[in-house]
Amino acid sequence: MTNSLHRRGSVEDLKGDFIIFAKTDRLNVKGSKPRLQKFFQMSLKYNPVNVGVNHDYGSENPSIDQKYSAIEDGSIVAVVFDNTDDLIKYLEEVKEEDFGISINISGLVEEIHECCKKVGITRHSIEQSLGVHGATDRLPNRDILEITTMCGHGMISFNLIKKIIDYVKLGKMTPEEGAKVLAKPCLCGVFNPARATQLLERIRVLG
Amino acid sequence: MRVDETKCVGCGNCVLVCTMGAIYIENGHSKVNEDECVECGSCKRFLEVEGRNPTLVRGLRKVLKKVSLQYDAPVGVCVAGALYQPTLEWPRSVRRDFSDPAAVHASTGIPGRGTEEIKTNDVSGWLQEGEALLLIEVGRPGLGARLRDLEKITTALATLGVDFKPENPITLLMPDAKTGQLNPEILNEKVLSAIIEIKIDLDKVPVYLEKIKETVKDFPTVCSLVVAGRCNKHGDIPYIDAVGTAGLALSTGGKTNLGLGRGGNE
Repeated sequence: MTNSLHRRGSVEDLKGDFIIFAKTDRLNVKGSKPRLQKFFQMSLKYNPVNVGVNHDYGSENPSIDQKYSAIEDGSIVAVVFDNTDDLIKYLEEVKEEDFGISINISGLVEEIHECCKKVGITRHSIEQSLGVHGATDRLPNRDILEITTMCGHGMISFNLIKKIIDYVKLGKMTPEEGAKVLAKPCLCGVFNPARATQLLERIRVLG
Repeated sequence: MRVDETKCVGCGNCVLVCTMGAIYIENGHSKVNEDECVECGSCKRFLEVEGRNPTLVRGLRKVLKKVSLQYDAPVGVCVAGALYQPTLEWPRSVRRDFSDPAAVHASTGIPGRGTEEIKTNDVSGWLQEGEALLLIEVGRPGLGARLRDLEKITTALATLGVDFKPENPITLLMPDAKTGQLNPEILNEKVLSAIIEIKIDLDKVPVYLEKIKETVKDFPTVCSLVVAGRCNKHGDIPYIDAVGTAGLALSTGGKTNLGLGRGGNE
């Protein structure tokens, strides 16, 4: 899974898009459920714009309680922040809790490096995109790519985004309403509705 | 995915949400182009079933049409719950394995695309200093890929004598990983995306990236490339020079493993 790695956008836009997630290995998966639940629960007081647990709920749009209840040994728990202030506060508590589970953050590499330094963490391993290659002429425009890549599993179709953009431009939906619809197909909860709202608002203003 | 035509009222919402554009309207009903469908399950999950009587809805639409009005179901609903998922047999089941994030890869026990990358490297220690991990995610973003296209890359890499990561769903579909060839039964299957993982010496990164670039020059779909490495004790990024030599640019974004994990099952 590279589902949080290929997010498109300008540096300025990506300053509001950070995903922190907990992932177990086969060496520490056993008995991880309560620690993953705590990782999930304590994030809620730091204003995340989305939280997610990889789980098939049978339908999309599960509640916070449903997500919490879905956590089991080995679940991947993800929390999305739209600023580094909240991320740093949460990260301090995560470090303090010492879960013993791998914690990763996706987003602007240098911003994350600075956050880590403030909390006294030296990064262990790092991974970066080298771009898209091949038949790139088949890809849609930048607006659509910036939205669709916020769900790394590719669950937000180009056609749905086009439709929501049309609705927002026509005034049939507000950018907030549009972002809420677009967040639904992202099963892992790594979509950033706050950033999607901003993108849709910009598209609306520019016509 | 299939559509029950006795229930479908042709509202077109599933056409909108289909990740591959594989659903279309014909004779007032949705149809699935099964050759293009990757079995991601997004349409069925996304659309809430309204539970309306399809006969009544069709009748209402006819009446409204006569007075130049139309009924549009709100985005996000399937009026009568017409979508259903049949049991998938091999080799079609491969589509779901690689495309549905709710499906767990039986081969690796990992959901999503079934790969670990550096996410737990602080625990496993699989990738060490002086090594690099290259990932080639074929079909991403949003176009999908036939596994026969992916095989063009794996066979090209095999000529360089590469070691494909053993615990990777694609590697496990190779009868002999030395050749890079996939099981011939799955070559026509289409997936939303699938990830090739190779571990190489850091100084070999430019050679392998060059090979990948050359192989995808006339590719029918896209692939997203990734490089990963183990930082030194100062947390420095190890692959900057190697990527520069290959003439590629690193993205400003990435994934950072904080090194807070450790082994030991309770």
